[in-house]
Amino acid sequence: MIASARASLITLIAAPTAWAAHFLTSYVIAATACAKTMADARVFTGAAWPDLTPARIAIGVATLAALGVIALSTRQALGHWRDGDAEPPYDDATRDDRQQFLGYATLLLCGLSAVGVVFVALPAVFIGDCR
Amino acid sequence: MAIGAGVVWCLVLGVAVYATRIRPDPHEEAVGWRLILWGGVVFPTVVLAALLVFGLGLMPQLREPGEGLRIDVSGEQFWWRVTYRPADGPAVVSANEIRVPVGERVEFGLTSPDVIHAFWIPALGGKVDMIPGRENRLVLKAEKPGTYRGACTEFCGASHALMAFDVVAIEKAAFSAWLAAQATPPSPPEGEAARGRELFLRHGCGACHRVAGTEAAGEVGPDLTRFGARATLGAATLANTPDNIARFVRETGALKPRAKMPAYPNLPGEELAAIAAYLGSLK
Ligand code: HEC
Ligand SMILES: [Cu+2]
Repeated sequence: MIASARASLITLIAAPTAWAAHFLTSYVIAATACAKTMADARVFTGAAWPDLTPARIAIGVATLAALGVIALSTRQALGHWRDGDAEPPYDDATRDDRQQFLGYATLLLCGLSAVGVVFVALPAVFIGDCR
Repeated sequence: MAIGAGVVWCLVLGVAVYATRIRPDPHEEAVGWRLILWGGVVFPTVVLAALLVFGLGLMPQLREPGEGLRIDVSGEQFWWRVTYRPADGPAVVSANEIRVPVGERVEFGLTSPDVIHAFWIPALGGKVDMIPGRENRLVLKAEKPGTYRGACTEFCGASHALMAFDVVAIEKAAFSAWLAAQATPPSPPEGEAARGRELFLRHGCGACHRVAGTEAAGEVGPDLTRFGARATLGAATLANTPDNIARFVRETGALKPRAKMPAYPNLPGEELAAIAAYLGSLK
């Protein structure tokens, strides 16, 4: 249904869905890692802080996965966008207008989702512990 | 930040004037697309990414340990309990005003015994919640001497809006001298102030307030050992003047609704004046 020659509302939301899933995954990974390692780390001890590297790597993997899904969706959207002879603004009640309108809208959402995923992942690059 | 806001404001209004007054006729389609692409997509994405990276790069510093001095601040309805914990030397208890050395990263330990408050000194850093049963950390550095305003920024009850404080940043040497001087209680009062001390103790103020060097050792309300050195009264509600002290004691709840101090409407004016003279002398 998602990999489809025909553009639909499902293909339209594939990239934003990957973005949402990536956000949730990153949040849960960071929250559980911190909750587990910080449980007995005293706040003002000045001791070394529990290492977050595994969680950061996991977030990195999730980020690559999300960007992969978005890339695939982008490729498909490009195909849909080019699939027809309609003219912008694609607002006639024809198969080509529908196909190209959805393809173009999907493409824009892919761009937005890619930026969103990168912004969500950036804290994991800069922040190395749970303080 | 103000400059940035000014630039953005001028740009937006400039474009609006250009589009409505200078060239109101339609533009070519290609120009429109280019404007959308560069102005609507590339520019905001790049600027936001740069700001995000810059901000995230600074964030770890806010959580790194300070340079030795730690100040515990407890937000209580509706005032601030302040405990200085220097790396060497005894802890010093105070309230409603925080002194910090200029140029040093000072670590704050933030908590609360009653409800959630939030600690915010806008000129020095972001706001951090003070949560019962938890200790939150914040590290701040004052770059310049001066007085900065702080405030409670989480609604905490009737007098939430009257729960503020001053942060006084002074040079390091002056700060060390000041902190060391806090170890000895202020010299005993004379004249009217001495009578004020007697009245202060007789009327039971010491059950809630501590004044080092006297029997007053209460811990319910703000420590008043150096009350006279504070610029403000009642968590930055009023200027610290004898008249305001007398008013605050006579009509506490009217000035600060739900404050956890009883009002003393029946104290004669001259007794209030003596108490005010005493409290003002505690420097
Ligand atoms: C039941 C405890 C209690 C008693 C008794 C009490 N106070 Fe207070 N007092 C407080 C509390 C709590 C505050 C903080 C009020 C606020 O700002 O919300 C306070 C605040 C003050 C302040 C302002 C302190 C500051 O740092 O700005 C002064 C001055 C003061 N009290 C004087 C007195 C005097 C004088 C008496 C005796 C006549 C007295 N208090 C009796 C609890 C008490
Ligand atoms: Cu508050």
